[in-house]
Amino acid sequence: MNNDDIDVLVIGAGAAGAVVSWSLTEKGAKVVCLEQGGWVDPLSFPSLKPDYETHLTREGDFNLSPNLRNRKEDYPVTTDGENPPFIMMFNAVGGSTIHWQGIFPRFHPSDFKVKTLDGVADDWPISYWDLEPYYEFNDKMIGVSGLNGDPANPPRTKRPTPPLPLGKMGNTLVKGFEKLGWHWWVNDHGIISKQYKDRAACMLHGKCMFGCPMGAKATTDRTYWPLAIEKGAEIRTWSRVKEITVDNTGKAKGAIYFDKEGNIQEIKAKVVVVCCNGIGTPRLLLNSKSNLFPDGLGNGNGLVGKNFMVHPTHFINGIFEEAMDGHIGPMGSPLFSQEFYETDESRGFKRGYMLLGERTFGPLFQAQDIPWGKNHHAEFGKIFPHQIGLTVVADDLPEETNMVTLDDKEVDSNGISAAKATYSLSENSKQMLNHAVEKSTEVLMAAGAKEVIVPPATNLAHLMGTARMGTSEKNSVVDKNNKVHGIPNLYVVDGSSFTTGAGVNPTSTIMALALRAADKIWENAVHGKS
Amino acid sequence: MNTNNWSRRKFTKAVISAQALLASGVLALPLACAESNKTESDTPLDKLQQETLKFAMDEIIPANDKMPSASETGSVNYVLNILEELPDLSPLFISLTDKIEDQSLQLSGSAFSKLNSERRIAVLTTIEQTEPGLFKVLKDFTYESYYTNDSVHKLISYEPHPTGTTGPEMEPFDEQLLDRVKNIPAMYTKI
Repeated sequence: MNNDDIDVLVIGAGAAGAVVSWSLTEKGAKVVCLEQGGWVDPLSFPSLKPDYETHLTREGDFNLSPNLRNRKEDYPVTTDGENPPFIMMFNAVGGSTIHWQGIFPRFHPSDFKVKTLDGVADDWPISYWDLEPYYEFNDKMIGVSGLNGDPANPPRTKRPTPPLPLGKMGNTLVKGFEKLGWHWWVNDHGIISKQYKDRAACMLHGKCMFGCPMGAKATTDRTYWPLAIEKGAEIRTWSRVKEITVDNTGKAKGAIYFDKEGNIQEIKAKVVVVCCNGIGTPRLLLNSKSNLFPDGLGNGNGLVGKNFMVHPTHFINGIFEEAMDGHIGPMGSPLFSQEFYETDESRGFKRGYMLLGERTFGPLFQAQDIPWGKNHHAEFGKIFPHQIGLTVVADDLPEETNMVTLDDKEVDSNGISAAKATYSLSENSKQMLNHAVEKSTEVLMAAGAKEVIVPPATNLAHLMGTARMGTSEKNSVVDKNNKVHGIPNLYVVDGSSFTTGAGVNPTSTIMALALRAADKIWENAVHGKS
Repeated sequence: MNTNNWSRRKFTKAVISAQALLASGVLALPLACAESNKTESDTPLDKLQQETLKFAMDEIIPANDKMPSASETGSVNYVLNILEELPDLSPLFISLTDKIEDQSLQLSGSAFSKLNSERRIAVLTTIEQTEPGLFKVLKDFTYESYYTNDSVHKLISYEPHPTGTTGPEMEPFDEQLLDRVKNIPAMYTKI
């Protein structure tokens, strides 16, 4: 595409970038996407190899963390704070959906109105019902598996493909939830259980986080991108954006980027959409300094990078006498409980959390905490294959002290300043995690566990909140249509635009938000301006 | 993995060929680190260093009446293969074996391989406390070699089901399990 003809420049080809690019191209816009990584060869995935687990435990090219993967297209993310998060992301066409487990819950209506309901954080300027048609549309686009009818969530249509199997571990957890009379439901997944469109059904190998060459997992390189390219979208791989440029009136002009050979290129477009998620987006905005925007783009109120949310997490394991099959089947979660999701003041904290029945990796991963020496085999035999995992995903309310800034020492392979993520758990989150440990232990014991192991809490590092959407220019970076305040043609569409983090995995909301934002960009900035 | 010249067209071709191969259920790539038949002169660790490594790995994962020790499953060869693939790691393993021998001489005045098991454990425990990073290299690669080994997988009844083989058999979801939950009144806050 000729550089002078571009309507929309999208930066980042992951979950949000793919959706925005497809939707706007479908409407008739001329779209170019710059992606710092490349296409991933599906036959190179570690999931094809019997020693796949080494790619999780060893530093190298498929590690979850960019700091341990260290590929040319990755950028370092240093960490700080009392509870520094483990940073997970993937830089390629498809973005972090390449790694992702495919767990696909939606936010609750209450997640958008926490200030009104609970007096904490801020309300989103949009509601669940503004996003609901986009959730539905996206589910059909990617072929979500699951079952409608869950009483913990608003009604949704019949899922495009049936639920994935529970396995013995899932059925065992069901016994615990049933014994206690608690809520549980089979999870929605971005993994198809039956052939859907041109993608083959999941064969239950369970190596989802090591790449799904089948295409059963809805990575956006296999779902949205082929459709976008067919309609005329152009994706320029190995193109790392250095900064977004602005003209002398303060409008976004385009971007300066490094191409595959490391040469500087400039691209211009009528509209610029940043889709680099909770760390990449503030990093790019903060690196885009000019005379008009000396503190970075959209940062007139100093909020770019602030309110970083990651989802405080606990991985709790029940040990059972019987052999379990937790290492078999899709790596996503077979079932979840939202018994403790909505606020109940008597628990001592605001908002709530989700419990995910969590499958485990194989023996190498499960051996990591087993002591070495003469008791090794006896200790290993107690946990393998006898574990069932429950993961707590806690609502992460925004705190200005949790933030993404530019690192003053580290740079990426093009010399661009790296990001630094600072995070400490709030008192509310600590109380919530304590409650979740107690309840997880209760349900695992009810399911028949003879022992429950509670490792220290961790931070899952879903990356959210750093260019938040808000009800006014004072409390946010973008407006209800994802447009950056004060810059008429610059948009941020990804997890960074979340006002609150909710207590669920974020990808379905990122994609629904991207579909909605694309409609607004078309109406307000492309079609409306033509 | 990603290569600089990987293109959308190549990607599309690879997707088609991957689906065809995977649908046949026969594609399983070999282990990255197979058995080694290297002679001593080919390897980055000399015979004594390999012996030190063998005895150390066997204290990390010793044999019992059902399970083999680490070296019995080829753990030393596993490391040698990795060093062949990733030569930058060689100095790390040389430092490790040197450290073990130094500590052995210091604690017991003898080569590590000549010590009894109790003293070898004492040497390794000291290194674990004083050089945790170096000790982690020993432990991690011992575990890695052991728990990616096909013979160990058989002994612990683990079937890896790599993608491309036929997947495991699992019962379809039984919706009747949700009969009680389906009758719970709506739990979400309506707003």
